[in-house]
Amino acid sequence: MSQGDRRNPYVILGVPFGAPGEEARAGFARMSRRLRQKPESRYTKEDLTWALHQVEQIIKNPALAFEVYRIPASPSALAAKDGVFHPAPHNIPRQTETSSQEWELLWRDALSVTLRRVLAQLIPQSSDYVPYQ
Amino acid sequence: MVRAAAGLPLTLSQLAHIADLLNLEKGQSESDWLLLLLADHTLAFADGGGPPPTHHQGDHSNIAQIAQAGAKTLPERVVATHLGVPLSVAPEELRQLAVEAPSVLDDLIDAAMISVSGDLEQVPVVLRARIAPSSLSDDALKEMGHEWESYRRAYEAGVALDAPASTPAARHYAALQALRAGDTSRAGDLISDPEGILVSVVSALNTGRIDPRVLSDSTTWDVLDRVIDETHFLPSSDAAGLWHAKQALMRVFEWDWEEAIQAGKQALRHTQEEGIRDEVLSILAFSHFQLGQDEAAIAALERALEGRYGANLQANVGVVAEDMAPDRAAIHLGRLAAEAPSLDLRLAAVRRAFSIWSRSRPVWEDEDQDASIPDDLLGAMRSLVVAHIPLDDHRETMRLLAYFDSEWASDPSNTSSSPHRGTWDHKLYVARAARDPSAYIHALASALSETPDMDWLTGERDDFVASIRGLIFQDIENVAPAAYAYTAIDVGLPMEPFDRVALTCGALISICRSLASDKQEPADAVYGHFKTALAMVDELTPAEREMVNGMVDMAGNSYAASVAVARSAMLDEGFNALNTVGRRLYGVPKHRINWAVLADSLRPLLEMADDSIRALGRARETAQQPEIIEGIDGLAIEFTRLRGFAANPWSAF
Repeated sequence: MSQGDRRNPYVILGVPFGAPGEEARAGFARMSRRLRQKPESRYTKEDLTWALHQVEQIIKNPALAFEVYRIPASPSALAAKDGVFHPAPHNIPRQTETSSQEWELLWRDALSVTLRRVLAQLIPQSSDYVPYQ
Repeated sequence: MVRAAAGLPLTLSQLAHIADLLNLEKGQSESDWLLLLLADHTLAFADGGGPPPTHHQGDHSNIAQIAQAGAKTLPERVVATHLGVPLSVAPEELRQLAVEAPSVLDDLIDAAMISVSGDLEQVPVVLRARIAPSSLSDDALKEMGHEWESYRRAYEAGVALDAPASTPAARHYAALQALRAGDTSRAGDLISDPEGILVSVVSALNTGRIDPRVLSDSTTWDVLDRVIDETHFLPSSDAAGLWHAKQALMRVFEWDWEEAIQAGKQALRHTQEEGIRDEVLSILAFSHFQLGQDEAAIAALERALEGRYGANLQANVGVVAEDMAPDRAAIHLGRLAAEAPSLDLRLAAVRRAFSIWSRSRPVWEDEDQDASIPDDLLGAMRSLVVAHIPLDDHRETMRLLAYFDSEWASDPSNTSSSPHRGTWDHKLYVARAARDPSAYIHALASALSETPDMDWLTGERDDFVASIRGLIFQDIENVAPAAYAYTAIDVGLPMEPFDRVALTCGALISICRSLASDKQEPADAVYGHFKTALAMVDELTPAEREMVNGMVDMAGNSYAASVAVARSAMLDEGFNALNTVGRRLYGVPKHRINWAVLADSLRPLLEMADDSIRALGRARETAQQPEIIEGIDGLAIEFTRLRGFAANPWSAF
């Protein structure tokens, strides 16, 4: 990019760096409308055409296009996290009821296993207390 | 304690005794016991053993972390999640839990306390739909009728959901899509979220009044863009910073650099969150760059890079610094090349960095020994050249290293781990790096004889020939390039007839100029090369012939003149020798002279005259300039006279 040409194709199309062709074309349409409404804009229709050509034909692999300024640099930095308009994936509903009995069994197993191991490892005469370990 | 005793073949009194032994307090719950035991077990072994530790009612959040690490079996790890540490299970453990404790598994899923590590394909589809629905294909979702997730995906993909909908999921997402576009007319179809955010959004759009709670969900900001402004955010909150940052980004996409800078500065005032600040600094840099404020742009980016590494930020410095500070651009791209996560990125970064760095240097024409590549870039190139990269990239990197890191590249052991070490693409540049033209020429000739059709190789040869030719005429008195030219010809370096003729003539002119001052003439081999080149002139196109004609004439004249000068000196020496003999014989009666011995002693003179007459005849064939021809003819006459005296001494004395 020469000093006189600091155009950024993605910014001209109003799309994030690395946007695919489909998104670029949508950006082209959106910015064309904007140009019709504001003819005295910074860029012209020719710039839009240049930008779309760059994105669709020239920049084959954006990750390797080090001549293009990357905006945003970190797409996740400003992206909205999960929320009402960006809902998290839906799990299917559960088919069981909460069971205290299952928890009780797990607690018993866990306690038993832990005690046996701790006793066996820390107290030499543990077999006196846990005869069937 | 009853529960613990039930899991072990112990009586309550035995268990109480054990608790005493382990310093477990009877007043604590069994869950505390378990967690403390797990934690102590871990700590004890981390410390290399030792006596059982003393337990105290402690901070569970710390203990839980240790307990999680100490938990070995699945029951232990499940139970340990009770203190808030999520559980990660392998697919087979998930299946085990689904069979042995399905209700517990559902509890963990609902509490978002469990995740699967490993290959999700090993988890049954129904279980995946329960724990990781995003891992299912669209077809799988459709097959199992999980329409909530199907509609969510359609909504996120921007698929129009305005068709009449019959199910709650379809109606909800159609209404959500409408609401996102600012249309509240279908709000009645929305399934409310637990915090009531959606209801607040609808209210804000209808009334223009905002419930501050709604702003805690940043996904609402774009929807409420026309009704919210900075006054709705708490000053100096991360939310305010994020809002201003998003405003700055929007201004960039509206091509309004000045407003983007204002919004960016506001964002920096409000947030200390590094990720947001780095992004804002990048936006500021871009806007300054567009306004021609290059120093401010670079300063902003370098500030962003002070914290954690960001490949895109690093690449952006390369763009901004390219015009005003190529060295800085190369340094940043060099660092990117050194740290980039993939070979493709590293290669692309190296190419870009090198292109920027070399742009202001005439390195390709003049081997600039003093030019030093930024360390990071050099390091990246060294590591790339031994990596599994495509052969073309390896060759290009070796070529650069041969120029700019010749000492390192010329040592084959430095690149012996390269998978391309056996190729000419590699060996040729090792030879070139050694800065021994003769070795390089031999390598080039060998490579061309084995693989004559490789474009890069013929290009390398053409560059070499053009370079040698240029050097010959750049300093015609310097015979080194001419010597390399003859080395190339001697080893049979394949080249086009035009190049062969031009190179031979140029070298001949240089050699003759050099020898003339010492009154010496070129060796026979040089004449042989010239004759071969002359024969090749017929193979040239008319245009090529026209280009070389002047050069061929000049070479022929140079050769003839060089021979004439050298033989003229020899002629003088010959007559001097004859005169010396004449002086010695002066006054000696002819009948006392042993003519046979005298003829023998003059034989070298005779042979020299013969050789000179032959050499002059050869030289005359190459000469075009009348003065040189005339001079050669005169010399030939004199050598003939000398020959006559040497052959018949009595005619002279």
